[in-house]
Amino acid sequence: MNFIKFGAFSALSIALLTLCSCERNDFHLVFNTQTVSPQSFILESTLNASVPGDSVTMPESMRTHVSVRSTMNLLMSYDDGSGRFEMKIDSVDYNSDKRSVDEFRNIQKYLSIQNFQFKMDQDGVVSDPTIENALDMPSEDELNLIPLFLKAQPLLPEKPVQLGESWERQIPIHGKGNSTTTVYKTFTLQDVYLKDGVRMAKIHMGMKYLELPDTTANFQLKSKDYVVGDGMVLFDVTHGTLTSAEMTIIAQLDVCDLIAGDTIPSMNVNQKITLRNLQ
Amino acid sequence: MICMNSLIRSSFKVLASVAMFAGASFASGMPFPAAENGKVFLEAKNSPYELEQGVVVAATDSFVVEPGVTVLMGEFAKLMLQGTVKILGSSDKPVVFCGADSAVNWNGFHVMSSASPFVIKNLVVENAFRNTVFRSSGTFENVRFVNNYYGLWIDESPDVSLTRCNMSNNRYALSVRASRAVLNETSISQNVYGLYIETEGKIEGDTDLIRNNQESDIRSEVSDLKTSKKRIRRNVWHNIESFF
Repeated sequence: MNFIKFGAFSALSIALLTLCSCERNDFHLVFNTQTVSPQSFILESTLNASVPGDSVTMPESMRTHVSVRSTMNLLMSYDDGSGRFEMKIDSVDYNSDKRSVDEFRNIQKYLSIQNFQFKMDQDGVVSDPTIENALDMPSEDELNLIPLFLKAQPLLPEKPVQLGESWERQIPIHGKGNSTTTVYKTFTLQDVYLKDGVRMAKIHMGMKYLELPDTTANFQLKSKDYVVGDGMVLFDVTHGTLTSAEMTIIAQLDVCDLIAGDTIPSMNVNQKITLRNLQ
Repeated sequence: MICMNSLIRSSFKVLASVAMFAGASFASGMPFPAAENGKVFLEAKNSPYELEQGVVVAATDSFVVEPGVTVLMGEFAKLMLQGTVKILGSSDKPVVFCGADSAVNWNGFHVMSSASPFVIKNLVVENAFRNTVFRSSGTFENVRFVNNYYGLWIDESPDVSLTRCNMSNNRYALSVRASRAVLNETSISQNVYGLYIETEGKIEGDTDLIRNNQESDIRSEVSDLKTSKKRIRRNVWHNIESFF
């Protein structure tokens, strides 16, 4: 009888030990969407596009850079664990070598009032992003900060993960006009470490999507293959906040300008987006 | 005796605190001043100044800079000059506008002072994205544009002269659009592109010192358009940008 009791006790101990050690290696990554205090971010994007040129077209390139300082405030927390946030634009610095002085000044002006709100779940999924003042909605050929923010935004796993574990998520990003692109993101938890008493997670972020032409538009883009992105995320596990995210995106596109009757094959595009928390 | 020692000790502490405070204020630079009595005045005794964000010197205010002044520009720094501009460096004490962090571009200075001609002498401008003169006239004398993306872009300005200026290590050294620019002993070399004459741009004076630039010394939009090859329309680039 004692032998049976001892055996049962041992089995229970081993089971508990195994469970504990499992939990110790599992990391539950969630955004704080309930009590987070205001955070300041810098969102930056550098875009380089080039056309190699051929017997008909001259070789040409474009470089643009936008840097936005913004403050993210929690407006309301919901019972389902999500929260509604406002991204308030504090300052904008924009430049482009394909714009006149007047143009880049106007762009800076309208971007600086492009405050937007969105709902975010604990895993970072953003829904209902809307620009606060409908009058400030960018027109078709104007810049929009929301897709930039969404490309850099990491999506966390729905369940606890271990070091080296990967997860996949897909999100729709609303682009120009009525077009929506489904972006596939893959993540791998690479490292978890303590820094000044704060637990940090280092996450690799990959991204891919197909750029399909909007056949109703006068200006159409088509990617020969997937547009691919590669980047890194630092996540503050202790506070449930993003520390930084960066993503480099590479694309090769065929461009069709129906009004001018031009087709430009093989335009190379390289974009680097970074989102840094200033806290 | 004890009192004397304590006095010496406390005086030392005060001196140390003053020295630390002075050191800290030098390291961060003097904040860029606001206009006083219609004038933004940068004095050598307060140099270096630090400009973190964009600042607009209004059309009703003048912008005056003494010889020997340095302004350290933050990543978001932009200097919009709408009033009278007098940047008066000397050959031995030039005025310097440069990035606080040499690895990061600042936005640039933008002269839009149509009321009276600007005077800019003995100035060094480094690491800006783009410096512009827009709907203004005036003189640059002994001004060095180094390591900017656009050294100087002159747009819709009827009379701008550059005398003994030097432009090097810029991507696009000098661009002139819908403007008249007069060059006197101005050197434009060791840039990627030297002079670009855009639509309705006119260059007068000597262009002998525009040489040794990597891609081209002098390019003209008109002659570019005459080539048989097509250029991509600007709205195509703008659409690409808005897609991403």
